[in-house]
Amino acid sequence: MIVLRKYATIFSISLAERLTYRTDFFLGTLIRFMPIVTTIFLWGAIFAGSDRTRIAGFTSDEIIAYYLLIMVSRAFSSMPGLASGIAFDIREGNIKKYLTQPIDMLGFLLTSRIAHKLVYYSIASVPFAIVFFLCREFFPGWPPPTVLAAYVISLALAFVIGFLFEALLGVLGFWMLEISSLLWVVNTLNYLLNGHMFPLDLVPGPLGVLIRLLPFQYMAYFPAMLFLRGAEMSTMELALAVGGELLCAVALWVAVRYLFARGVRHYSAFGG
Amino acid sequence: MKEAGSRYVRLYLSLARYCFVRELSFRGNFLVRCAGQSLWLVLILTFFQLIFLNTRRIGDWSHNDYLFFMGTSFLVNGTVSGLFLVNCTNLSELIRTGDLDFALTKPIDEQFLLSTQRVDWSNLPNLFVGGALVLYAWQRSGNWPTILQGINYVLLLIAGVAVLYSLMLMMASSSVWIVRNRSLHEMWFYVTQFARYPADIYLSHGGGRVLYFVLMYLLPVLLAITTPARYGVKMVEWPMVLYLFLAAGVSLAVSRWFFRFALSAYRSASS
Amino acid sequence: MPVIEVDNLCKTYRVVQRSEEGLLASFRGLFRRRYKSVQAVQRISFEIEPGEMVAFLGPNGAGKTTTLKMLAGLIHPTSGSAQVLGFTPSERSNEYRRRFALVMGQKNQLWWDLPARESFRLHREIYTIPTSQFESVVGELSDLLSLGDLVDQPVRELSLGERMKMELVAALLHSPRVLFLDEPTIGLDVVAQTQLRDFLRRYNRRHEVTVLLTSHYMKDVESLCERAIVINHGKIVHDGSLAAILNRFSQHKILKLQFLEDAPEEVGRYGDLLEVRGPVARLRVDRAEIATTLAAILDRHRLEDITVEEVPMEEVIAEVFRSGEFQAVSPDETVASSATSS
Repeated sequence: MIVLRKYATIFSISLAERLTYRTDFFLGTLIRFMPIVTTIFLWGAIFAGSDRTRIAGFTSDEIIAYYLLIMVSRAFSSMPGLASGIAFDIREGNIKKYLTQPIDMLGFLLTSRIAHKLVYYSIASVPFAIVFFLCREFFPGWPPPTVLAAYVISLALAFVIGFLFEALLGVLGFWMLEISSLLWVVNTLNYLLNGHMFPLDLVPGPLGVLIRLLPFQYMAYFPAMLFLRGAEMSTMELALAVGGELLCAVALWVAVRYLFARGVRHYSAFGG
Repeated sequence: MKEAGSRYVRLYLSLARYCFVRELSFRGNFLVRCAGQSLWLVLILTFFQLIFLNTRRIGDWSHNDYLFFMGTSFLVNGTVSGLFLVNCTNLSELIRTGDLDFALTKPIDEQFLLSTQRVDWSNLPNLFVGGALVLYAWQRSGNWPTILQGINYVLLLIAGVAVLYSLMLMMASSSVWIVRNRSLHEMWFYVTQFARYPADIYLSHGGGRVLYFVLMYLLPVLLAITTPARYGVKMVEWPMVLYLFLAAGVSLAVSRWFFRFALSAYRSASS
Repeated sequence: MPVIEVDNLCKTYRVVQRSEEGLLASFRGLFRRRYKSVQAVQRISFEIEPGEMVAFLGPNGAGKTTTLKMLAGLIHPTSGSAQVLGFTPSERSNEYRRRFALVMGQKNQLWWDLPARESFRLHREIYTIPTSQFESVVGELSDLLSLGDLVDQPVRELSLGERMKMELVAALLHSPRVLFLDEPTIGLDVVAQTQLRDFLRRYNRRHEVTVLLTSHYMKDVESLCERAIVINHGKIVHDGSLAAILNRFSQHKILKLQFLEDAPEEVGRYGDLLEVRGPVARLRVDRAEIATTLAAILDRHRLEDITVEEVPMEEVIAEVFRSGEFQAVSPDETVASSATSS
């Protein structure tokens, strides 16, 4: 009960903090949709120059739907500033605060992230709804309820995986003084590997197969494809696919916990 | 007048040199940043190579034309980022924290000092790759420009840079009124993303034409890359070329006015 | 002819009213913001003669930095006028900017990752200082501050005190006629503070530069300035010699008595007892009664040692700001009290 109240307090403070940047909030939400506009036009021009009706298995409508769904995936899985924040706390010694107070650092960060995300959704859902309504023609229609349920679960897991992925990078700060360049390189690669830049199906041959086996896809590509192609899958296949994502989340969680514990030990041995 | 000009050139060269020395004293970090830049270029090239496996044209740009477009885009963006992005980000940061003071006490043009303090040399890969792509595309098409056309192309690149710099300076100056925690860096990415692809892809659709009109004539970001690239590929289209030069002049003047206006507002608002 | 003339200078600005705490309040803040105007500086006037070193004293937020920034042309005055070396600072002409320098203790203007020498070279370009003059000034200042090879070390590797010395050199390269120093010794250790003070005093004497400085450290002020302008809530509450402040506001001296044995209990009878530690007692005694008090004590007790001290400047100033005297000077400070400068 007390633990619950502790995290509830963190939650509401984070919420209040988020709301203070008001101009930024509206602007930021709006501006996030601008790349979609260019993407629509770019793919329009690509299909216009091609004699095919499908590219990498996508019709011109599906490709737009794909990019829109990627926006949704990323709204869940992207965690701006999390890794650099953790590394900063380690470098500046702020981490002592977590080690001396009866609070778990990762739990604290997760709680405040959830608060941040909820504020974001509460404001961003309006422009999201408008954009999706305007773009409804690109979608084939609502998927069946089981697919929808699997989709919602996959998004929740995308949030968890995104959080753990960034936390994993941040925890590297225990051993590396400066991780900002590394973060930049990893994020650039992630942009391609998670399917944010283009559908992973565009990559031909064994390389394409390999990319779709990597865990990065769960942060963007996987939920989007579940929504688009889920109807073609059996319930068993859906469950297996989501189970794979869950497995990935668990593996990441173990890895982060392990590295964090090692890091703390390393820190108290050398960093003090 | 002439003396003042040479003073500014000298000052700029020293600044650029200091930045280079500074980069070299953190060689590891510098190299990682260069590698990151190169990686990004590779991703873009990969994407379009994959696209051209599936199509022969994007709008009316053939594969070869498109390589030329990307080369031009790397050249312009690399120059803008290398020379101005750090400085404008820094400017908006100085405004936000109220630390503009030192720059304002110096007996020198503030716009010059604030937009040239740093040179981000890690954008060099952009210029190398961009230059190589442009030459490769010219070579492949067998359509080499004359010397005059080559000079013209370079002038157009500079005009494109001027247009983007003006816009960036205005965005940075606007921090006097707009409080945001989002960095200029990020904003810049969103604003210029329209210019990343050839401008004519927007013409296929009614709404796109409105966008095209706005971004071509009111906030001429589309102009900055498409026009030099088109000139390099087609060597014609004089009206667009002249318009780019005009737009560069006007944007520079407007942004200078806006910058000074922001400074005076900053000075009456701060404590 | 005064170097600095300030006449009825005012600065008022608008700040966002901080919203109340809590979730609901921040939601409300999304849609409506309240502003209030703050009078940071209210009708201040003073004149400073060439070569003078004047201290600007006052608590945080009194308007010291704001005034300094107005004199440096960084911010526009709301009303009133200021003239420095015959220039109007807010016009910020290049001729004026070549003739003054501003040093702020909390901020640095040197290139962090490069040796200070490189930053000096940059200043030479910016201020177009002839090479011969540049070399001789750098030489002179390095001597005065005994910098040695430090100018060739990256600034980030220097101690705070060394860095501050470099800041001063950078600011003095163009031989300014007026020097504005905002908390130049803040955060420095005692040795570095003393070095900087000595340097400033010698430099001022040699070059007759006019200096206006703000400081928290009364030692700076006592050792450098004969004149102090005390400012509170944006208004000048005292302008004159430091000694005059002491006379005006400090009616007391401090008696430090060292007894042969433990200090007697009734020692408190002779004045305000500040502290007793073993045989040592410190008493605050009215200025006029020092002689009689001492006589009375010597009459009854055997003493090892006696010292008479002035009340430390810090305490006097603190007293000045606490005392009701200034409430009378500025009765309408309800708004200004929340002024924040610096």
